[in-house]
Amino acid sequence: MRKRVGLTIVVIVVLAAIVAVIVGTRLSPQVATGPEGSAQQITEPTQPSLEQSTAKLPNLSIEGAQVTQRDEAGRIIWQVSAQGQFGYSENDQVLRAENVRWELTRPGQDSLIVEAPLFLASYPERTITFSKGVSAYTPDRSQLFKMSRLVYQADTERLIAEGGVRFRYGHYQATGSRLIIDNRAQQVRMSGGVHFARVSG
Amino acid sequence: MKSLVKFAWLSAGVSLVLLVTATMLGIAAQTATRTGTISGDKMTLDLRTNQFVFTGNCKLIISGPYKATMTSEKMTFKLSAAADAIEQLITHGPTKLSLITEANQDGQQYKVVASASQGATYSRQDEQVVLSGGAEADIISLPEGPTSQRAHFVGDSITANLKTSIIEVDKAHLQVETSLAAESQKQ
Repeated sequence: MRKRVGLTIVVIVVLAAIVAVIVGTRLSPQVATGPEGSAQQITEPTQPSLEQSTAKLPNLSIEGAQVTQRDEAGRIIWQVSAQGQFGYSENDQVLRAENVRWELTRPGQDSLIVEAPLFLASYPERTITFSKGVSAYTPDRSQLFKMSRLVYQADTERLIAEGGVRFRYGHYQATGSRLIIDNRAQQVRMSGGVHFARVSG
Repeated sequence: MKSLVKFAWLSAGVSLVLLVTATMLGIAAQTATRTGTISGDKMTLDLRTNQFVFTGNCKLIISGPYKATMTSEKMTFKLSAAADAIEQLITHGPTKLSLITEANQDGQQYKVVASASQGATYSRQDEQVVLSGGAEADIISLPEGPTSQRAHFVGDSITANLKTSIIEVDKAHLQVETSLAAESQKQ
């Protein structure tokens, strides 16, 4: 009788040990073989970094809080820096940032600097939208723009401003409801009850 | 008793200079601030030539010792090199000019209402407006009323000097209407 009880205890202990080994094995990280036969640890899946997410986007480089878009020849088209982090939605292919300073290179004329609280660059639509109170200016500040919202259309190279638009040119200021900065035609066009007057200062 | 009175026809090719106000030379020497504002439906600035084009219900208002308002469907102009003044403004097509002159030495002001079919040119340096093509102008002494002196001009072109308040009509036809009663009272 004592022998049966002892044997039963041994069997239970052995079974418990086997179960513990199996469970332990399943929960531990898997080990895979690397390309050169070295063991590589496969970690828990994590969110892809911004660099990884935007790797498929053409001619885009990201360094810290600055994003640079270049053309096929490697020339800078635009460059944007943000006070905070850039976010990228892989599903929408939209680059997002807050409190940005965006500089557009314009062949044959001064570059244009845009500052805005919100920046959204949509790669499918090939547009960049600045909103929540936007200001834009040339480096020498001979041209100053203020508007609620500004959209850059990459295909047409136009910037379209809407909402309480103000355009300061030298000592004069034009106000209207809509403005287009046509970089190819090198024109500024305003509509919607345009008023043009000299301002002090 | 009020009534009318003079009609005068001047032959074509003759340039008529009408001194609207007595002597404005002293006043012209004074420095005064003049501001110009322009409004319209649309504005285009060509950054290569620095030329502005306004289209649709365009209105230029120049305020200062005098007040001039010019309206047209299209206006083009350039700013000075320092972008601090409108150098020259050109209107295209039918144009209307309304001017309240500066008071002369007697304190008299005049109202000028002029129009032209081809267009007009405003020059900041000369402070004058030239209306071209079928130009007409009415000059009325202020305050406007039954006793006001009135003159009506028709000519190829009308030049309004905003600074001196001299209206010059080229190839003119002049019609003057005045009040004898008013004139006799002055005497």
